[in-house]
Amino acid sequence: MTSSKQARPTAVAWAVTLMAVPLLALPCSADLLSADTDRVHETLRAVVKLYGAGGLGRIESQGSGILVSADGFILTVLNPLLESAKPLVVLDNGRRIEARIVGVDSTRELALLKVEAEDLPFVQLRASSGTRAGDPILAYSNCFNIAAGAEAATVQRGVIAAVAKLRALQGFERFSYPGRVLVLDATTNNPGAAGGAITDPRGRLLGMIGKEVQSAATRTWVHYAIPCDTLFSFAQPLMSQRRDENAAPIDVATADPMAGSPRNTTIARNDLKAAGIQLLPNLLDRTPPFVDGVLPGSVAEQAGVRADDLIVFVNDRTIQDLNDLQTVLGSLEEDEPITITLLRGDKLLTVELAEKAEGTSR
Amino acid sequence: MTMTRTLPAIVLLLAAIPLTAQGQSPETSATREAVARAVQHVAPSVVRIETTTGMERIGRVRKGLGPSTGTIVGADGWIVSSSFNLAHRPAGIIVSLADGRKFPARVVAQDDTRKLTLLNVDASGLPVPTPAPKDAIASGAWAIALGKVWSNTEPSISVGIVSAVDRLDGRAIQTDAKISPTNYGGPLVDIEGRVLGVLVPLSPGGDSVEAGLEWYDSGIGFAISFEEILSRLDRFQKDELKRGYLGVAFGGKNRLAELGPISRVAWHSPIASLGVQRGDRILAINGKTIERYGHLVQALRPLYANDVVTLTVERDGKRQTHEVPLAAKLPVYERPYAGVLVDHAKTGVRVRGVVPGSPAEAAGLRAGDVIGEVKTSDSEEPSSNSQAKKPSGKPPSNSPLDKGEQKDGPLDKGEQKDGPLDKGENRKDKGEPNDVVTLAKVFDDVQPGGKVELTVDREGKTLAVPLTLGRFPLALPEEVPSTPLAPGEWELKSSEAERDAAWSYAPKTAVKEPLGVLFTFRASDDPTAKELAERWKPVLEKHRLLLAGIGPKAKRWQRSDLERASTLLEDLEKRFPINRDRVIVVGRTNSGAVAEAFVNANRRRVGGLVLLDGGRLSSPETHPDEKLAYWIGWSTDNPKKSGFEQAAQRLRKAKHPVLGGERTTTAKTYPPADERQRIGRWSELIGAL
Repeated sequence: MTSSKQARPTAVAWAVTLMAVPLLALPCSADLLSADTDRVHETLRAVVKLYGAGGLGRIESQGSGILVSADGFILTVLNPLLESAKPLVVLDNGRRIEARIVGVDSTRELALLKVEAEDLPFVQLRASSGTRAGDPILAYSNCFNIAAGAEAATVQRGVIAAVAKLRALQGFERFSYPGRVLVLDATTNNPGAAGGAITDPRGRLLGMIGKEVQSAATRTWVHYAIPCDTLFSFAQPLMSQRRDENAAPIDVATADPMAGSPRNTTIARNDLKAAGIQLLPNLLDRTPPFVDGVLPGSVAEQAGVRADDLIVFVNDRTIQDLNDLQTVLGSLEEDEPITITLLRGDKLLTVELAEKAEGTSR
Repeated sequence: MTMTRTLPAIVLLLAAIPLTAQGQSPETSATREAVARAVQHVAPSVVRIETTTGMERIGRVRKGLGPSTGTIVGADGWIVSSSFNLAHRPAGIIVSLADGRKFPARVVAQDDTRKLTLLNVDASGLPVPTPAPKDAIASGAWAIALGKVWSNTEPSISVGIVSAVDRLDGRAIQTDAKISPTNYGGPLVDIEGRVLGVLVPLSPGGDSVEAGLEWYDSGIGFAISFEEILSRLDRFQKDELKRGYLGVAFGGKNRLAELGPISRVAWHSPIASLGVQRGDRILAINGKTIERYGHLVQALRPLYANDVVTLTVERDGKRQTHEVPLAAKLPVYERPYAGVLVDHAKTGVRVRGVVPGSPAEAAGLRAGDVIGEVKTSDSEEPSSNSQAKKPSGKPPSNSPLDKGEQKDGPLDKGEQKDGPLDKGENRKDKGEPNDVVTLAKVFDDVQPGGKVELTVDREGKTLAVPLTLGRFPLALPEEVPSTPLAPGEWELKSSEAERDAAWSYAPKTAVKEPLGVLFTFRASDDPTAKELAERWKPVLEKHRLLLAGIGPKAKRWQRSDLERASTLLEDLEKRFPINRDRVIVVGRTNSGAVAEAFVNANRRRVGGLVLLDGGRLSSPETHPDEKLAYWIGWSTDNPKKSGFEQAAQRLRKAKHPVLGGERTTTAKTYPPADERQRIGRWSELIGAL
């Protein structure tokens, strides 16, 4: 984790940023940055602070949540803090209410909580948002537990940087969120912020701040949110089912086989050996995927693969090393044709292994 | 998670304050649309770079090996990216254009100063975006950062403003848009869709390729002016872009301090080729007035090797303006070694002795020889380009930078005409160096491995003696000739009230021949001055050395003690003729660091540093006017001995002459007899040419 520490912004950096802020409103029309402050005030009231188990080492005991109904449904991320028997919800005015867990989605790591109360401020769930890169956003959360008193959460501004698939690392483990997320250009995903709300400047819900993860591509912290359509399809059915208060929480991921867990990507279903491609022995940490040899008369030879070619893409997925190659091959569908892009000298060649490599006997 | 994360959040709370009630729909917002248009305009010029294999660690940073971003700079397949993106040295680089076409790319060149890498792919007709004129870039204007890491089709967007122009000594534009490996190599775009610059990690704290990564997403990000990149492109296509060096140093590095006189002119540097000397003042660079050290850095830091600078220099109230190309690398001076012990008292260069096993011995030089002329020859054209030299006047130069400037720099007083060596008195009147110093300067320029031809007077006959200069020996010769001092009375003198605080031990009567000095900084368990004097006496006489010692005024060494030491040395310099090459500062255990600090502050007065089980062992630059030889000793039972061994290796690598090694510490009294004798012999060696 040393790299993560190193990569954190410094206090000095932020102090200078602060100085630059008043300039923002000056040069151009302020519309990208400004928001309806009444709406901001309303949204702040609907973002709650959560406290529960955890607090050991890196595990957070504190988080954020979004009130999505007047009668106390709260959306948040599936956090270790929820392992507490009765997670505690704190409203902006300091009111404390114990919550129960209604349901979770263990794949997408979402949770729906319920507090027994009425006439609470809330944000409307929306089935879709039509967001795209460059759109301005506001992010609401209790990041760093800064709003620990009888006070409202924090709001930040930024834009949607990208709407993209997230390949990330949580600690040393891979964290793959199925589907697209909203990548943000604001520093939103800090400790305690997960479960906070992302809205447009008019206060309409766009998504929910995700957990702290690092990008697998860049090894830097990612600021992202789970989009509102995912939130809607998770929470809406649970909210409409009136269930017994004492019922055990439902795991949507298990209940719905279609939600499925991500495909097992560790077992190679296809082996290039069958196509006649011999690779270097996988001895190094990161063995380059060079073709060591091609069997005479094989599919690979017919397709024009040669020794010393470097495999750079398989079906447009970048191949970093032999382990990567195995992972990508393993993730292919049974009947998916394999297209390999080879780097030979300074030329790129694309070959199709027409007759698919025979699968290992199963 | 970590404490550093707490601060940004607090500041962000404040950052969110300037929200005003507009109630405008962002979808119809003019700025939102302007941003979208600007992005669309530049997007076709933003490429994705994918790499295969490579190192996972860059310095101390664990680097992601995912895709990165590049920006098209030339229609014929020219792409610039951040050097960080390729620092893992991938086996293959694939560029994906915005239209989906993929090309293998080759690395053409790197710009060290701005950490850019130029790539080329076999394509043509690529869209080069419009640059924003650098002069028109203003703080506060919109700045949009684009990257291709998140998607191969649409660029990712971060919106901010220009925070500063000409940051990091004029190298970069600063922005508060979120800059990270997500968009390093991508363009920073203005609201009109012109490219302000190419995004890179940079840091005022370091020049390594990953320096600046620690500021990712912090609100401090940097971009290299796109207009500048385009203007340099033809140079970049042909060659590596290296930082340019002038070769000048000043007393300190405080950027706000007023610029004093030049404290050091680097050996064979561009500025040395102009004849500029220590003590001259720099008034202007490229027409910009230089008042403070910071101005100098701002004027020079953005420049590249071979850039020609215009320099206004002042000496004795007279101004001169020069033009000189900067160098990519300053040559490292290595002390040459012939093994000739010379007689400083006589006019001419009289050989007093020859070190056994030395190049001088191999050349057949003998005690009693008088060196008259020295001829140097250019190694490339040995016959035609050879030139005869008196060991006087300005030595010939062999630096390629000096070609054409070899005669005289405009500030030089002019080369000495050939003439008999024994007219040295004239030179003395003018404050010219004596013959030994001049011969040493010729050797300095020839460097180890170089050849000279000496004209030697031996018993009335004139001989030509070819000599190949060597390196300072790696082992102390068993025998070094020495000429002992005539016996006489010596006295121990305390120059401060407390007896052992500052003292010297020297002959009572005047001495003609230049002496060396053993200048000891007292370790807490050192013997008394009297005991030291008694133990060293035979070595002092044999090798013509004085002994002096200083202890800390207070309980611990302080900065003011360096001044006291300087005064004590000055006193000896006044009383005796002193050979600075043989002024030896000694530090042991807890006085090592202070001895070293004294030497670093008095490089021109000290020629040797003895560190016994102590010192920090920093490695300063070598310089012919600041010759320094090291004697580094460590006890067999010193737990840090491997550190000393490594430091000695490091110093040798930096071309410093180093001797010493393991010390026998069985003797109850310091210094043990064998150590005294070895240091005595070494004191002769470091005084040899």
